[in-house]
Amino acid sequence: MYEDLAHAIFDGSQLAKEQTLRADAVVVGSGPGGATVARDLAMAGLRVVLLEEGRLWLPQEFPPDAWTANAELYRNVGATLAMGNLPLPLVQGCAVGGTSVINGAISWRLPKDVHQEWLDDDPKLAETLPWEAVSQSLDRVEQDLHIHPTPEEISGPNNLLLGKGAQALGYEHRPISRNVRGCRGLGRCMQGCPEGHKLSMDRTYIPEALQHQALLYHSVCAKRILHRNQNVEGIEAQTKGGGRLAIHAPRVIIAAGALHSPLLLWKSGLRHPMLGKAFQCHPGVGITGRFPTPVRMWEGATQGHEVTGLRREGIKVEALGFDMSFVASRLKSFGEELSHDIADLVYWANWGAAIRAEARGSVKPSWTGQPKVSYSLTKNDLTKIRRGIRVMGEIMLAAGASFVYPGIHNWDEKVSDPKRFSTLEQEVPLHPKYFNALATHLFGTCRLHSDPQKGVIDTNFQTHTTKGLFVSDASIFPSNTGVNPQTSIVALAHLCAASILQEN
Amino acid sequence: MKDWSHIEKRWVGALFGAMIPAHPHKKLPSLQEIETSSFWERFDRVAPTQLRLGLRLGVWIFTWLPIFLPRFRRRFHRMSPDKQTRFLYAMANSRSFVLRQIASTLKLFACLAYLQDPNVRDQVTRLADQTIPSEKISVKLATKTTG
Ligand SMILES: Cc1cc2nc3c(=O)[nH]c(=O)nc-3n(C[C@H](O)[C@H](O)[C@H](O)COP(=O)(O)OP(=O)(O)OC[C@H]3O[C@@H](n4cnc5c(N)ncnc54)[C@H](O)[C@@H]3O)c2cc1C
Ligand code: SF4
Repeated sequence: MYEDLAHAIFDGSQLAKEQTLRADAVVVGSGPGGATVARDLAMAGLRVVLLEEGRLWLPQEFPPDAWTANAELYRNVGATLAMGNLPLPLVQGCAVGGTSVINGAISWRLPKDVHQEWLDDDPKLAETLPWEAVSQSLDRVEQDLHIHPTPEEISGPNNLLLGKGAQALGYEHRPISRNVRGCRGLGRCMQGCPEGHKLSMDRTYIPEALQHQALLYHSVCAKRILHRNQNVEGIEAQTKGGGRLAIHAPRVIIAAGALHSPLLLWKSGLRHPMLGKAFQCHPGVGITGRFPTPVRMWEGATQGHEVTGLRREGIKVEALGFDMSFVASRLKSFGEELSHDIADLVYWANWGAAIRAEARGSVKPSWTGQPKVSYSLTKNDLTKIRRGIRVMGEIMLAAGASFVYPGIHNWDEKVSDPKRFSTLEQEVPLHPKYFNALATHLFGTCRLHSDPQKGVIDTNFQTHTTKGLFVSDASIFPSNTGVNPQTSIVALAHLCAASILQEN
Repeated sequence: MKDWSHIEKRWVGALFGAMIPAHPHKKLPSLQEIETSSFWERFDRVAPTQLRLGLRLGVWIFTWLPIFLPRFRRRFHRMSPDKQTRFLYAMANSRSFVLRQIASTLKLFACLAYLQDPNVRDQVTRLADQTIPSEKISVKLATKTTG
């Protein structure tokens, strides 16, 4: 795929000198938000430079084990911590293609009710972001990324058991729609698909952008947005090889993700009352259970089945096929018992629940220059987490698990009787430190709002403060969505590109 | 790990070895038996400072804390395997959130180091292949879906 595009790809680890470029647009970050804009602008004939801090990986290079993947493809080994009433790891990718390279490929349309909440909060959005436009953009994403439900043949037991248990208990459920083509169910999405079946940005929009004369500079970190008199002028960046890159352009699109986009604005001296303020996420909790028959969690589509019936309550349950090492680390045993459990890893299943948390936090630069995230879950959020664990536990036992580990401190370590779960909500206090969670969906730090007091970017995706400076990634979302965000990020990014081209 | 002293390396080795000893029926090796230098080399290269310091502090705490606990009364690496395991369980279920976090973080890194070894992964897969085939599950789809 990249063989014919070598002329358009520059590896920052090999660039040790100073270099100055001119372009019509420079895009920072090559995840779903950045790749989409880069591709659309390039296809419209603009000279685009796409900058990415991570490196370009080819499918055959993706590591099979979680450690190597986390170390090489994830930002901070996946261990950026949000500090608050429960330290929460915030997981993000760092590679050409951004987090799409290591995500589960789950593809959800932005729910109409969530869009309506955005309009209720900012009626002016109806002019630039009407549902019809969003919906058409979502249709286009579904087509471009070949989004379709996971076929049963490649699901594997970890997914199908979730369906079986949900069916038994009467929960609405379905195979997950994913952005894959020819997926063989190798269960390695979160380490990067080794056969290139996942249609992440590095397999789709980025090569398309390069075919249309865009230039990709990877292993290059944008350090500063150049601006003068409220007009953007370009980007200053540092290469991994120790060089410096100045790119002058009348349009700059920041798509560095929900933690790094606000940071870059901040470091460039662009202050704004809402910058980094409305941080939201979907905290996720997991449950592990042992089945009497083999599950082979590492086989089958990484995330192929979901319970949809609780979405409006703010709970989404998904099968979650982890690498062996993560499964092992979630078991409760130590010593010889753990060695036993690892030898029997084939019998364990793992699922997760993502919570639409109401909590809002903030992101600003720490003394090291890295994002400092403050975030505390509310009682309502903890109520949903607790309910999510109960539902997953009940479904797992209904699917035939011998027992499950709910993973709650100071409550039953092992549960084999489903009746125990009916008392969980009475017995477990809403204390954040009784739970273990992490978040992979992050939003809102450069919020979109027509009122400059309530948002960082206007309804045309341009910052309220600086002409020519746009933001296009998960940070612009007015709120979290309660569903997996990638498809919506791409859909909004198409609209962002259209808006830039219209101004053009 | 390159800046860890020899003795700190021994401590972390003891902790990891106690977490994942050899399988009682020799089905799998212990974590101490396998080569983890590439794991630590990568850790040194990519782990953020906070994580590096946190892990090191955790190793110190778990090495010395047992001395102050009447049930243990020795440094971690000086305890019998049985007591080491009991100490780890006690920490994982401790009332202190910090101790629980240290236990789970050390265990996570032990598992990552163990299962990054291709031979261990092959052995786990081979053990899996020796089991009966998975249950044939066919899921009837829910009729209603939330879009
Ligand atoms: C493990 C995991 C599984 C997930 N699974 C799903 C899923 O199944 N479905 C779904 O919809 N969502 C999923 N998500 C979430 C989804 O992948 C993200 O929400 C989405 O990728 C965010 O897109 P983005 O463009 O905002 O940012 P990102 O995809 O994070 O891209 C930002 C890019 O900017 C780069 N960057 C940052 N700073 C700089 C800088 N200064 N200079 C240059 N480059 C920079 C980063 O390295 C990164 O590559 C998952 C996330 C994780 C972590
Ligand atoms: S499940 Fe496997 S084959 Fe399918 S996309 Fe993910 S990694 Fe690729």
